[in-house]
Amino acid sequence: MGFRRRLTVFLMTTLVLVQALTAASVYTFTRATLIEQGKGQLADAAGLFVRQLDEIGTQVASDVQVLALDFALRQAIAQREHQTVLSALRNHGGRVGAARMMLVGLDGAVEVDTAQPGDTASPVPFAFPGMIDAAAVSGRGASVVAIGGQAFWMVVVPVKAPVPIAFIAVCVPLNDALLNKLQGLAALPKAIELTLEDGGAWRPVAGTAPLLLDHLPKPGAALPAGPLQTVVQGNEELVLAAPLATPGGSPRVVAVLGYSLDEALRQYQPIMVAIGVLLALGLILALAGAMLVARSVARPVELLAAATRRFEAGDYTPPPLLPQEDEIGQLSAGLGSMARAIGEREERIRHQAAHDPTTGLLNRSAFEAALAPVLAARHMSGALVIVGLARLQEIVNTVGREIGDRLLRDAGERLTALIAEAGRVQVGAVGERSFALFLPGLDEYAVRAWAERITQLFDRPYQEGDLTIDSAAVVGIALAPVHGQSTAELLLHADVALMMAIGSETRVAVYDPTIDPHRADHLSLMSDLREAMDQNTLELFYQPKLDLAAGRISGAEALVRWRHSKRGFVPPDTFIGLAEETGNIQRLTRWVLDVGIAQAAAWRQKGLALKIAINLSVRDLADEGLPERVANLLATHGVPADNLVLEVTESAIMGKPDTAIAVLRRLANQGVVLSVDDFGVGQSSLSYLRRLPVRELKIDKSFILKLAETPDDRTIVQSVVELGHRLGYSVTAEGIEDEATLALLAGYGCDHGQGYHIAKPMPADVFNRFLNDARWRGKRLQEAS
Amino acid sequence: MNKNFGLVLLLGLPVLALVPAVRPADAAQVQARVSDEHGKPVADAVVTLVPADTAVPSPDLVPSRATAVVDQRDETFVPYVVVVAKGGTVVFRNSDKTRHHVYSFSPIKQFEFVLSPGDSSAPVAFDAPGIAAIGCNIHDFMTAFVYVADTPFVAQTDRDGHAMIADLPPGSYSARIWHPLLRPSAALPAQTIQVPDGGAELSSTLSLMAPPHRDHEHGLY
Repeated sequence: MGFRRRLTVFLMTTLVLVQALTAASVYTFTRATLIEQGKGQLADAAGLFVRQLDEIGTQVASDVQVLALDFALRQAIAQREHQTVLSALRNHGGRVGAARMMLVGLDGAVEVDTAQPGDTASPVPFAFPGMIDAAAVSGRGASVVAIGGQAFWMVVVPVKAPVPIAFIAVCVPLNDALLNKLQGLAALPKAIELTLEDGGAWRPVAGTAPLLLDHLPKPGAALPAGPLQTVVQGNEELVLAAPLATPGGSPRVVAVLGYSLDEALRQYQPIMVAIGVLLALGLILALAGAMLVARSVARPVELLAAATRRFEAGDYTPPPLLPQEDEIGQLSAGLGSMARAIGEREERIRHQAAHDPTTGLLNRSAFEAALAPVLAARHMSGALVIVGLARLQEIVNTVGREIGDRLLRDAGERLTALIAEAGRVQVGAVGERSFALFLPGLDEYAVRAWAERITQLFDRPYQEGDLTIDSAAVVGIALAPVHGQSTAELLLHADVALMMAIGSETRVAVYDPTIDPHRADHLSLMSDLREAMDQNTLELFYQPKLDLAAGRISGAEALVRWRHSKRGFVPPDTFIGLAEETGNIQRLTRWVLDVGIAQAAAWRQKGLALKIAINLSVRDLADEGLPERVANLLATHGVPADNLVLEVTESAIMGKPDTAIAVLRRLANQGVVLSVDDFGVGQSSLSYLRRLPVRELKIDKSFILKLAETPDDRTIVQSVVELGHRLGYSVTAEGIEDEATLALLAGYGCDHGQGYHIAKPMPADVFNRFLNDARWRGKRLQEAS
Repeated sequence: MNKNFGLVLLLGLPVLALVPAVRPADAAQVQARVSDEHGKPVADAVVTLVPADTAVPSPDLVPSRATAVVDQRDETFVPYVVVVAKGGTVVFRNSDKTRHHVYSFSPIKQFEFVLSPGDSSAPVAFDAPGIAAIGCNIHDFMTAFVYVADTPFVAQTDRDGHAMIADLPPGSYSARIWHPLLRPSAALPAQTIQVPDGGAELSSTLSLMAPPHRDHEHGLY
């Protein structure tokens, strides 16, 4: 439950409780008041009722007193003319509403009774002698009495002539008619019942509410002094039993009055409804108020909560500064300053995370991130250029890290200035000593021009005080999209190009996938290669070498071929270069030596005197175990050493350390023939060659391929052949592709020829058939010796 | 004129008392004093003495030749109580300006007549001893009593509650005292006294009802 709801619920609950309590206490108070009021009213009503009855008695008494003054009646009474008296009493009784009239003598005996008109012979004593005395003394006696299960007002007055001579007793029935009359006269309660004790029960006499009698104590027991609170037919009632004064000898007569609480409450119903409506209105108002209050309290908190959610999402806009000066206000101010502080800190961290600390330029990952949308959005071609300071490590080692850093910074500024001038994207520091920049929409030609400008930028040396530092810049370029479509790919390839550039003279290199040793597919290729060597799925092809003078095949160059199970034919340039780069070349050479020398042995067993020529890599020359291994192989297969020709390129032997020369010498000393491959394109120095134990020169095929058509080539080839012969080398020509060339070379006295015109490289079995079928026969052992 | 009749009335008793005094030479007298419970003298009480032993000769009751007058003035019977010897007569006179309807339903004498203002009735003879209650049917509050005595030893208390019975032969007497306001149910006070030669004194206390007040101006209630 949210704060606001909880607050609203709390306020509402409190209000409802308070209102409910108020309503309950008002109800309770009203009820208690009504009960008290009812008790008072009942007591008043009882008093009033008794007074009313008294007045009836008085009225009757007065009437009877007037009657008792009637002269004729008095005369009749005085003379005891009972029949006259009886008729007179009957006549007058109707006037005063009497049900029964009696004449009582001074001795208390009933002389005449309208209820028993015939019976005058045996007078009976009057039932209530006390009333006779009262009448004699005070002129009248009046009381409620019960006679024969009925209640009456009994009034006794003396008959004076002029002294009392008798008494007239009058019985006025207390019945419903009388009660109605009383209720009409005065404000008596509606529920009123007269009752009398009759044989152990309350007998209803007159009235409207006989049910009230069920709530009286048993007859004979004392009546409660005050009103009883009880429930009559589901209604709450107050019941008051008011005993009426009765003379001795009469059963008790009781007036029972009821006061209906429910009815009394009913008159408050409109008020209750009004109060209820007021309460409801109050509740609605209070609800609105509570919501407003809750809103005014909760709104700022919600604002602040929303602000913290924004902070979480990285939006550090400070929350609105709340005007209040309370805790919420302080919190809002605190959150604001906190947001600012966090924002600044995060900005700093972000900057540090995205920027190179030394140069302040974008670091590699940030540069990648910055470039990614450019590449993705535009699909445009462009060039990723990496500028490296090749000599930086050297500089740092010499002048220290601080100056090195400043130089780097300077370099970054130079590049940035250059790029800014051209309106290009920003420069990133992508390595410890390299910068990257992206030049969109440029082709290789335009990029090379830019690379030129960049290298020129660094021709001006860095100056600091007296110190002048020449920081040679090299540039590696990867072109999008041909060299990669993602920033990471482009950066990787530009890095590779940078490495290449470091070795090159122009100090600028464009990525070349064919010579990229780091290509991912090369990694798997190498493992496949090793597997192929282990499982002998590599194959040696043999290209015949023709002894031009003898017209016989005198040997063959072993060329390794690899038919990859998945990739198909893999060009030798690819996997050999790869093997060189990855250090696998020595194993490859070892394999070729194994197979090649075994083949030579096989030829010998057939009586063929064929020399096997095998290419050595420059790296093989670093292998000091090579001569011994070659010797072992030759010995194992029983192949004479001079049947093995090891071909080494010019560049492989030029300017190499002494160890390589030593390996070559040891091979030569064993009698192995050493041949200089691709002669004529490198920087061979004949004087240098002279010091090497080389016995054969192999003229590069670039001179031979168009020999017949190119006079220059003819001159060079002829000269080389002559020169070789004079220096004691045997000379072989590669790349013979037509008969004319073959003839020319034969004419020049070239020793051996090799080329498609003679035969392409072929597997061993094909080579064997070729020896049988071709116009040139294989040289036999007997002929060779 | 009224005063003259009052004189006659006042003289009536001594006359009554003097009659027996003529005969016995050795006569005694009884002084009676009647008071109420509070000690106040009670007027209009009638004291009679009846010889209690045979030694006392029964007095001869001489029929009275005098006629008592009961006047009606200011709607009041005057006197309130009149004592007559058996056979005596009473004349009722109306001195008021209103009519009066005089009646008696008493067993000893019943009559009724209307007296116009200024009229007097014919003498009413009371032949039986006893008490007749006299009323006016027009004015209910008017009451008078005629005490018809069958003995000469009778006297009525004056305003001071005194009454004297003279010319009594000494001896033992039963004394009875009556008053209109005695409770009807109560027994008449009676006592035996010895009357010596020198006379005796009789003292009696009566318990009386309150006199009916004359409240005709306020109605009956």
